[in-house]
Amino acid sequence: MTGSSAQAVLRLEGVGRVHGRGEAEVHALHPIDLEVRAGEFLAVMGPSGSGKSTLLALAGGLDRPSVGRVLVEGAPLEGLSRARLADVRRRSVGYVFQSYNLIPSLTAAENIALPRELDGVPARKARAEALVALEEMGIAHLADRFPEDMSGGQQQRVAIGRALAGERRLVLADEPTGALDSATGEAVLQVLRARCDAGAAAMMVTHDATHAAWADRVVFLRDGRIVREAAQRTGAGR
Amino acid sequence: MSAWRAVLRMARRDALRAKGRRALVVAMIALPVLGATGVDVVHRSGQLTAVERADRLMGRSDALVGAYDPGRSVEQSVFPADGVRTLPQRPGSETPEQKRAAATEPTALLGELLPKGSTLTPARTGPVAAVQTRDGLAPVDTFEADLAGDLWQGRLNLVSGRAPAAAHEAAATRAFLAGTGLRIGDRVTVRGLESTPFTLTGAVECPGELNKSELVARPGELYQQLDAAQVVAGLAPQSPGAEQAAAKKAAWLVRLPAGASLGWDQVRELNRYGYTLASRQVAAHPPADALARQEAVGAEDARERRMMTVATTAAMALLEVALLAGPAFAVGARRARRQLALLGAAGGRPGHVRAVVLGGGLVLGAAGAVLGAVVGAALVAVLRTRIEEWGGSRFGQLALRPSDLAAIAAVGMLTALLAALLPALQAGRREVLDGLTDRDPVRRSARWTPLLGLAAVLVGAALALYGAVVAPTGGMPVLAGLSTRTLSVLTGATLAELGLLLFTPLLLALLGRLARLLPVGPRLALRDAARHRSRTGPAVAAVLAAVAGAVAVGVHTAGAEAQDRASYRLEQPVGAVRITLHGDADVMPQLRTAVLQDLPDLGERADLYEAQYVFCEGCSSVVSAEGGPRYGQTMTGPAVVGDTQVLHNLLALRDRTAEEALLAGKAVVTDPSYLHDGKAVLQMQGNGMEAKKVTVDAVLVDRPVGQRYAPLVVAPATIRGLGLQVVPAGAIWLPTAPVADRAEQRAAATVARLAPHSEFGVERGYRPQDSVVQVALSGFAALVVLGAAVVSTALAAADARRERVLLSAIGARPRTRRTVAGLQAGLIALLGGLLGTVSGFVPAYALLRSRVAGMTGAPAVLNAADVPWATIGLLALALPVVAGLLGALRRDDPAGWRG
Repeated sequence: MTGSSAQAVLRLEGVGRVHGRGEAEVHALHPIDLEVRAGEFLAVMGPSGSGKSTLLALAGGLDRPSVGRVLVEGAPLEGLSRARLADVRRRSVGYVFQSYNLIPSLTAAENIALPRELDGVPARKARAEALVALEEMGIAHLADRFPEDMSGGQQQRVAIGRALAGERRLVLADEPTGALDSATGEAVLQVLRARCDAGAAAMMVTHDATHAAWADRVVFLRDGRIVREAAQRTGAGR
Repeated sequence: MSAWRAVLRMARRDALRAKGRRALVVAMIALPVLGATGVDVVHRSGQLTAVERADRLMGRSDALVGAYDPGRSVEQSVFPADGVRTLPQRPGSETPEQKRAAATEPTALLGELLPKGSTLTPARTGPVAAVQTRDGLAPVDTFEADLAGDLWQGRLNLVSGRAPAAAHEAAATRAFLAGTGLRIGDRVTVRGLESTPFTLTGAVECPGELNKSELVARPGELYQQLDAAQVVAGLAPQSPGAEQAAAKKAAWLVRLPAGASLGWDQVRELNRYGYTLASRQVAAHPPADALARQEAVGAEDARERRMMTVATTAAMALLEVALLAGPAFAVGARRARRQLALLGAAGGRPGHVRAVVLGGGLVLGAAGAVLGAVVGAALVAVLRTRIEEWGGSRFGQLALRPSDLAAIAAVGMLTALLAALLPALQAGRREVLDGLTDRDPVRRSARWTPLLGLAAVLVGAALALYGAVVAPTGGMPVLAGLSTRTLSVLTGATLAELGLLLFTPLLLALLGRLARLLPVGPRLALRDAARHRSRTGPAVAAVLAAVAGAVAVGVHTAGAEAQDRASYRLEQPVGAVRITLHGDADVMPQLRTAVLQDLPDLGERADLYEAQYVFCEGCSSVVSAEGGPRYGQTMTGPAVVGDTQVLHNLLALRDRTAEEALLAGKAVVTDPSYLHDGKAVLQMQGNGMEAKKVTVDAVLVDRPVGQRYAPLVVAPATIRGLGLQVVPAGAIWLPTAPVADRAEQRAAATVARLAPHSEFGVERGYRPQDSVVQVALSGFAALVVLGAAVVSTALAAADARRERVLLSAIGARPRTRRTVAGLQAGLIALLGGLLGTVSGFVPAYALLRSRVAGMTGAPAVLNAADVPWATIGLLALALPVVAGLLGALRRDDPAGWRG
């Protein structure tokens, strides 16, 4: 493990996940310890069924660990109700998925503003913040477009913008470039890297080593266990 | 607040995206709102203000005076039509006012009682006359009025042509013109006044009685002439009763001089003379003690029963709409599950997810409610004239009450929210991760669900029966104007239906267990339906609701008709024509002649008499026959006096033994309980408390219960032999051919004119009422069932498309896929049909039970033979087959599995 726990945005302590019972028991993730610091971009690699997506779901409170505990910004997620977990996702954690990332009935600006509005921020202020985020990502002109009117890369950039809306500092990305061509994928990673450089923390699941090269550190999973961990020169992929 | 705005924005946009489902839900909500709005606007518009009511009664005048019972004192409501009665009085205790009224000519008396300078215009309705038409004779009401001025404006409006101005000119109502085929400019001949036909110069209408067929002549040109014609024909009324009744029709419009008024005190004063007074001033400002009398208890009970039926129907209809719209929301929520999961991933709480689905209900409900209310009100406005003519009365003004319309629209929105509630709860419970990974995990339903369902069914049925039988009648409204009784029935019926819904998971699970025994197609269908209860459940609920509605309508209609048929008591054989006198005995010869003029082919007449016991000078009582004990009391029945023809015409009996017995002075008894040791007992009530009794030898001619039109017949000679009086009581004919309706109406009018207190009727037997409405209702219910089955199974099938296309991808033959789709649709329809049938019986039985509650000798609530089993069988068995076939015929898009 690297860095001090005081700086850790995400910390997993002995976190494991078992599905089923008895003979049908499947260890999706054996107990692991892991932490992601502010400004750090962590890539998680491994073959299918290695537990990558399970790890990501546990980290953001979408799933509950069978053992161990997850801390986001120092606060443990165990014992939280579904509503409180939703609060954590709304205020601390942002997700980016491979595809179908955006809510189709909302515009780009509305998608980014959604977590803030759900948090009670007035619509006007939330929109202003969303426009700033879109500006930073160079897609301000897409503010009022619906997802179906945007390219995959544009949608992923909006998704990253939403994942970091408000005070959120942790981005959990599940194959964010999987549905994109290589050039568009690179552009999306560039945005993610930039956000980390600005102080956010990110954990990205990927199959692609070239994409993992954008990360500061890479964790390899196999059969639900961390089999290797490698620090990289920051921004190797750039 | 900001969060809810964002959520509602999503809901609104989603609702606008799925056009097909959106239109379906909006239509489902809009239709009942449209209907309710239409009924409300028509009802409110038909409720006249006091001023409008006064206009219809008295035109432009200030008051209408009626000679109700001159010489007695009366008591009236503000408008005499709402209630007036003669006050009871002992003989010899007449007040000075009563004596004066009896001795003074009405117009002279009114001239003294009304303010000086008042003008009186006769407003008496004339006799029913017959006019010559192209097809024969048509009955018509007659009226005399000078339509040239504005006095009658409001009561009698000239709508085309001109007012009669010269001698023998007349106007007629539009209903008269339409019924007779006559037009303005035609001549019309009134029977008895053939030498002076009237020329029709204009069409009029009575705004309150649009269907009234009336001929309006100038004052002095009709009544006297008609009366004279009756005298010539020997048909003039001669009995004092007839004169008295004619006098009661006397009425006058009153125009007051400037500055004069007629208040409640004047009304009370005229009442003391036996006159009624409808005053425009009193109508506009009614005093507290002039409030209308309470309705009779019987009328209140009937009103409550009607309200119970209407409220239960409305509640069941709302539940039906909610359950029918449910699958659309359920499918919408399932299709949007990834989007809802994204909302969760972005930090949306389960409450936010529920709100998006409920918001869809709110948006579509609002659209449907507004659309329904606007179109409903607009339709009434556009079709106003036609509706007024259907209802037979003009509206006061088109009354759009914002509070009513808002309440109806709110109920519509509530229905949509109710429909979206279950899908919203399901969506809120779904794990975010399941939604993101597109998993649809099978969840075991709680063990307590069927138990809760059973409890709900039992409590619901008990509550409905409590309301129908036990709860007190005429209770005060406790909620939304509904009494405990009504609320119990509708809550019970709703609870029972919801309880049955909770059985669905158990039944699906049981069926799912059978799957292993079946070939692959049915196995897949059963397993799929059992495992995807979030898909199957709403579809079953929709079919259940529709079938429950149809079964309730069908069972209630059939049961009510059976009850009415069983309660109906024939008073004489079907087809018999009967006149029953009530104190007009001396007019009987004229009545016979007049009836035979209107109905020439009646066959042989049987005269009916009654036996009277004279127990002091000028006092007598009707002799009755003593029957057996019933309900702890001795029954009595009429002792009909007549000859052998009475046996033929009244009892439809041709029995030589009975005829000989009658001629031999014996009584002919049709009801064994009236035979006491071979004798009939006649009761005579005199001054004492105890009735005197005499016995007459009797023979029993046992007739079936429904054909005992009189328990006992005795010959006049026998009665006279007992020292009793024989008094005419009427006549009866038993024609071989049925009497036509119009001929019956003509004869009834003649009898009413000659002997106002007598009854005239043709026994038609039991005639079911409102058959057209019932057929339309049943047809509509059947359509809803079919529609619900098609729509809900199609929505469920659309939801299962992915699985079927997957089947295709692994090489399943089209037949297998069709089998799976068809069986799934059939299974949904079968479950919904069976549960719906059970559910429909609850409100139907409760409402049928309430119809006979407290009725002495009530018919059975519902006989098994009266249940429309064929219809129910069709719903429960044929519906699944149709749904299955339709499901099997659906085509799947091979590329559709991605969607």
